[in-house]
Amino acid sequence: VLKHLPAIASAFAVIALILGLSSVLSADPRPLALQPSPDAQEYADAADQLAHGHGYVTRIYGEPQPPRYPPGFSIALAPLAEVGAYPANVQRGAKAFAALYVIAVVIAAWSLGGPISALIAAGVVAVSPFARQAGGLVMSDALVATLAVLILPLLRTPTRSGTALAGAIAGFMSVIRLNAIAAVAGLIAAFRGRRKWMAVIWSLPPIAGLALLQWATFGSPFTTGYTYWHVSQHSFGLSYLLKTPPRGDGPYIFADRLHGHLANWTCPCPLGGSQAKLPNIAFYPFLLLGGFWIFAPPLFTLPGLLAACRQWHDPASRFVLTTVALSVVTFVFYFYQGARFMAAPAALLIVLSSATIARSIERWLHRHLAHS
Amino acid sequence: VHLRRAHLATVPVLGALLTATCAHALGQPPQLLVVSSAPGVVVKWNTGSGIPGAVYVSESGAPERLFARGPRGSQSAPWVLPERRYRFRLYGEVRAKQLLITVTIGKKAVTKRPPVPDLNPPRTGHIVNAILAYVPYLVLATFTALLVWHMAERRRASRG
Repeated sequence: VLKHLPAIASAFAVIALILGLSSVLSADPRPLALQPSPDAQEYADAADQLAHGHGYVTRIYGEPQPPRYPPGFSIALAPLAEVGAYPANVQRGAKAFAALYVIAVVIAAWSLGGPISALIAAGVVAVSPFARQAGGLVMSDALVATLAVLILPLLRTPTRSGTALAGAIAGFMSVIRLNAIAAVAGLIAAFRGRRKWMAVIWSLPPIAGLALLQWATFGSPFTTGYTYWHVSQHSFGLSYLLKTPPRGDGPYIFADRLHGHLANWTCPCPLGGSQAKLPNIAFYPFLLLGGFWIFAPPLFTLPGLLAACRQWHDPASRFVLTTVALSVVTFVFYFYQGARFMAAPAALLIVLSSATIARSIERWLHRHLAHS
Repeated sequence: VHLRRAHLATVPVLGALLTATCAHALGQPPQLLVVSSAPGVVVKWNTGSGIPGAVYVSESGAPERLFARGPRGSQSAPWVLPERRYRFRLYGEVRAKQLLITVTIGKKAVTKRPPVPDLNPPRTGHIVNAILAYVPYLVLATFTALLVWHMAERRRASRG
């Protein structure tokens, strides 16, 4: 049994991966006008404009305006915006990134913990609603999560190219979503010595490119689209920590598989249920632990989190803990609440948990089968 | 004889349906009022002619949910927040669900359209736009090159 275990686990991992992929690829794309506004419409239109040489702009009443979001996701979608009719081409691209998320999680889990780990990760992603729901939306969350988990295998191979690639990925993540700069901080915590500085240097070109674009658009490298559109006068504040009900997505973009039942004790709740009720300080930890089953089933991420705390000497653990902690600390003070902001931290924890659980299963099997 | 009795039995049913339809056509117009009441609002409705009705609510474009049922009535909604948009719809339920009236409340109803654009929005020049058109391919090429380098290094390391 032990001899054939990796082959059996590999076969089932492939089956689970195919199931997960088919679930994403069969998701009906939501009509662009009914997708989260203005995020999805701006990402899609800006990708189309970029592809046709009009610069990083979005049309509002036919007039080109600077979008409020950083350009990373539209840059990733732009090559796909050149093929086929708009907006179906961009929606296909977004679905491809959601499918890539499923593949990336399985590859990362395999690299960290072998075929059993890959099987567990593939199963978790297939039964959780995030990937399928992301497949129907033009939103950047699946791509950020994909890039975050792709860094994990690179931390295991002490090569210059691996370090450079990890740095470049973290830098590109930062121009998809500004707070993803937490991944660069994660690399600084993960690497030691020269590799640390090499990763930082490779992460800089995308960030410098963003600063140059903002300089060329607004006349200052520090003025963002958010500033231009006056998204919020006070984006960060202590009061957001405990504000209930918070201003946020509720369950309308990524919904809990359990319809918020595990947090119903917090009700009476506003429309949207408990997913629209919890203050930031409780919402994000509860979400990451699977209290809202969007990324992983309840408590699935706990073994990974505990293992990461115990194995601080491991670069992957340092990367995951730093990225998760910085993401949570950033968003608990943010004026807007959304489960999707935790896509990358949750994906990292899923991979780590899968590897941890797989190691425990292997140990248990070896012990019991060796005795018998 | 049995057939005739069965036919006769349908008369009151058809009569009730006809009465309800005529009453609806000739009666008062349907009413749906959303009145501010701290906390939240009070929703008052009347289908107008005594026909069965139901009030559904949708928050910020989310799917509709049943809020209340009956030909007329009043029900409070203390969970309504002033900074969110809610759409209340009154439906008549004689046979199929028929939309009678819609009321939208909340700040976002006023600012549904995107903000009026700047008359002179900041723009990048033609040269920058031309460079930006190549950026996606530059990013793709960089990642591909790094990946190829990484695979080669790993292969060398595994051989060594």
